[in-house]
Amino acid sequence: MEEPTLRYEKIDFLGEGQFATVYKAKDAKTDKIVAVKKIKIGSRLEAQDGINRTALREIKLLQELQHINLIGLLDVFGQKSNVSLVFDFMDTDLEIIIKDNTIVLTPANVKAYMIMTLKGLEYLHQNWILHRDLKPNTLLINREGILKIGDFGLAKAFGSPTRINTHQVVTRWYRAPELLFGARQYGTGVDMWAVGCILAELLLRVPFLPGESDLDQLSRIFQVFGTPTEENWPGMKTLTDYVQFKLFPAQELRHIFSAASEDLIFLLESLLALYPPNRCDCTQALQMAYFSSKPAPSVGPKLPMPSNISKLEVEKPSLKRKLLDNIDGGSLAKRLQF
Amino acid sequence: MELTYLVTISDNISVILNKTSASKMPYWYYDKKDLLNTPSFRDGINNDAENRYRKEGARFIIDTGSKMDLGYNTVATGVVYFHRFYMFHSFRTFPRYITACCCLFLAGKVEETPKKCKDIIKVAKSLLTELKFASFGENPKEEVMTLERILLQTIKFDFQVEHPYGYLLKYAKCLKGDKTKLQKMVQM
Repeated sequence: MEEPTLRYEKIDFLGEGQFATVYKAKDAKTDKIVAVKKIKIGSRLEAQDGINRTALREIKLLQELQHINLIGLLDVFGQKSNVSLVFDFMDTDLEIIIKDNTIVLTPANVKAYMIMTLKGLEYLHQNWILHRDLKPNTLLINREGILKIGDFGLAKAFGSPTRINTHQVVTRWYRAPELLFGARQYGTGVDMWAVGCILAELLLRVPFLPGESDLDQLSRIFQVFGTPTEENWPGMKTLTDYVQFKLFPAQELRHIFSAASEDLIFLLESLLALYPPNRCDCTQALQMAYFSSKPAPSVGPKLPMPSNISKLEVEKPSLKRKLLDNIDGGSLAKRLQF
Repeated sequence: MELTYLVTISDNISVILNKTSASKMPYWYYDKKDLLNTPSFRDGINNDAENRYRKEGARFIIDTGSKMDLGYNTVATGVVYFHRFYMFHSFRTFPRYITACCCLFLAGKVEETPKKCKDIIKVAKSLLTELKFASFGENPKEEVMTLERILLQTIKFDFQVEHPYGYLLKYAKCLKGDKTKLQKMVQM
């Protein structure tokens, strides 16, 4: 076994989080550019109890998962005082793209991001894993225009109906109403809600429901979707943190998203259904009309990139492809690169 | 009913296939001769003594875990880590009770039933004779934490251990017959 510190040659410092430092590095063995996440252990012994649990979760789950739209864990190695995780290197993330006002997001771009997110999440849910922290900055994008779901520090296996979970998951703006009411038993719906919020944000280019507190979050949700009642959300009042809200009437989503097509509104409504069992799952979402109607989703290399990242050389389309593009905008199957 | 079983079984097979095809995952099955020629054996500990150490370590993990109200899965994961650890190290280099504590400590975190290191040590101390606890040294917590890093690398960060207990219970519920006999069968 070669010395891992020699195998990964540090190129650049990328960032520092609460539990880890991330470097851009070159894998001397494969010449691939990778991201090395160095988990801090050993530092501040009192506050921590050995290897960090979020790192453990990431290692445990990602080792068994493999999908083009999930971040790949390439290697794990330990040194004397720390543990490092080696990931696919990703150039940017959806938050940066949404916030970059020099970037225009076309309906085809939005559709491409949604397909990639839902495909990755569908695979995750099929493997009985909830991500629990979906938001624009955990959807990573590389210069080939491939989106990969990252940051599995909160992900967890689900399935046992009696299992008690914490409701303190998901960044507030993307948190589903049942979590805000303190539900301890929840399912894939919490991730679907987050996807709905992300889709809305792709359209609005600002966070859809930027609550300032948990109560404000619920209030913002109900101001859009109407305050739920015992009729359209049976059992709501039995949730631990349930509080009575002012009765807001529901708004029409097509008024908020005036530029969105009818089938897109339908997808949004299915993702953002207040009563969790009414929310669609990934497979249902991917089968909706929105994904088969025009415009076809952008192919990876045609997706926008922040200006500081040089895009992958786009090959000049062949004459045949040009002709096809002109006829019908290219068929869906040919344009998707999965 | 039968259909759902078929689906789960074929799903499991695909998971297993995936695991072996992704050659980077470590392989934890050993030939009989490898199981006899362990690091401890090569270090001058005979097979009978090693088996006794393994049994004592495993029993200690189960006892400590049970006393802390840890579930069967967590305890069993800890025991698996323990056995794997000593396929790479000798009982002479790493005293068994401290390794056992460390395995339980890690298993707790992996199985989402975490226990504080100092609490595990407290329970361990109550279960061991003073002589046996002496192997934990001056600063037991520090010892366990340091060992954790060695443990992580030894088991090659392969944390996920699948246990048969859940399946056994399911099958026991499907089978019809004498209750006590069934119970005995599952307990094996």
